[in-house]
Amino acid sequence: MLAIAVALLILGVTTHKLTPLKSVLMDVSTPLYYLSDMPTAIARWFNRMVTPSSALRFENNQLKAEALVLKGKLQQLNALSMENIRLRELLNATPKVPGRVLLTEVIAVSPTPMHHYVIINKGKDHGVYEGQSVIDQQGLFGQVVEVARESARVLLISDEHHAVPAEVSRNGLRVVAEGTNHFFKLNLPNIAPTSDIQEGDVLISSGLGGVFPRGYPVAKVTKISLEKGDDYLTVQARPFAMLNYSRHLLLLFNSAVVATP
Amino acid sequence: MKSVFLIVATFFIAFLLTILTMPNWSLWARPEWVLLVLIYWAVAFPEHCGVLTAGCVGLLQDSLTASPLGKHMIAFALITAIVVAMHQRFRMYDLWYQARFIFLFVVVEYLVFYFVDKLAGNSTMLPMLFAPALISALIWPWLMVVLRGLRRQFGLTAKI
Repeated sequence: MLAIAVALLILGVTTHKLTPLKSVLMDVSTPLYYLSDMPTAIARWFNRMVTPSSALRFENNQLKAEALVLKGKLQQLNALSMENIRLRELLNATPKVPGRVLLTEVIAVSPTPMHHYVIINKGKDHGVYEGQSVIDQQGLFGQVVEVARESARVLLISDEHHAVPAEVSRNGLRVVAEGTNHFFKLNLPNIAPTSDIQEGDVLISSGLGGVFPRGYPVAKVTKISLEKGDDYLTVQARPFAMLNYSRHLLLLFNSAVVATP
Repeated sequence: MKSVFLIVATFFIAFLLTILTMPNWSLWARPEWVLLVLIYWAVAFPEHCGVLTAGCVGLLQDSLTASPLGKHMIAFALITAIVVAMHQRFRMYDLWYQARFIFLFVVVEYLVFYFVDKLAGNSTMLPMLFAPALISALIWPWLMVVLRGLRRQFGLTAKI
C-alpha cells in the first residue's frame, strides 16, 4: 500500500498522467459535495419561503430598474464594440468575438486554509473544460483545474499556486499578480522602483498567459513600499472578486475553442 | 454484510464532516474525522478493516482535499498499520489514555503531510499541526462511545 501511495505521489507530482484518475475520484466525491451543500440549500429555500411578498415586490422593482440601467449602458457598449471590431479590421488584427458564458453555483469550498478552491455544480456534461476562466460579478475569480462529469474544481486567484498575468489599466504596465493564500491580498513581484504604478491603480487581465481573456478587472493596488535593501518594490493588491462570498459565478467560454451557439 | 454497511455509512458521514463548510478562522480546528473513524474500525475489526481499507479511504480523502494523490494514503496506511499491530493493547486502555495515542497519531499524520508537501513544493505550516491533533484527541472519547453504541445496535461483536 505504501509502495502504491509513493508511486502515485511521484507520478502525480512530476507528470500529468493521473488526470483521468483524479477525474474519476472527483466523480465519486461529487454526491458528497452536493450533500454537504444541502443544509445551506435548505436554509436558502426556507428563507425564500418566509420572505414577505412586499419585500419580494420591492426587490423585483429594484432589479427591474437595475436591468433598465444596464440595458441602457449595453446599447452604448454594442455600438462601441462594433466600432472596435471595425477598427481592428482596419488594422488587420484578429477581431475579438465575445464568447458564450454559463452561470454556475458554488457547492463546496476548500476544507483546508492551505488551498483556495471551490467546487462548482457544472462539469464535463455542460462543456466545462480545464483552464477555463471563471468570473464573478466584480471581477476575475479563478480558473478550472479539474473537471468531473457533474462538477469542477476552480482554483481561486488568491491560491498561492496561482498567478494572473495582468496590466495596469492606466498605462498598460505588465505585472503578474500572485496569490498569497489570503482572500484579500495578491502580491506583485519584480516591479522596478522606477515603474509608474500608484496606490489605487486598477489591474486588468492582460491575456498574455493564454488562459484568461484580456480586460477583466483583477485587483486594485493597495500598498506600495520599497523595503531597505530590496531591488524591487513590494506591491500588494486587493482582488475585486468576492473570493470568499460569491455563490454565483460565470464560466467564460473561449470562442476559439468552443463555437458560440 | 451489516458490518460493511455500518463501516461504509460511518466513513460517509466522516467524509461529509471533512468537507462541510466552516468559518475561516475555525478551519485549523477541524478534527481528523476520517482518520478517527478509521482507527476505531481498525481496532474493532483489524482483520477486515486494515491497511487496504486505509489506502482506499486515503485516496478518496486526497481527492476531497485536493492534495497530491497519495498524501493521505501514506499517512492513513502507516497509522493503520501501527494501530492494527497494537490493537489488543489499545483495547485495554481507558478512553483518555487512548486519546493521548490519538494525539500522537494525528501528529504523525501531520508530519507525513509536512514531508509530502515539502517534496511536492507546497507551502507548509508545521506549528499548526497541534491544533487538529488536540481537537481530535479531545473528540475521540465521545466519537468512540458513539461508534461503539452504533456497533452494538447493529449487533456486531468486538472487544472495544
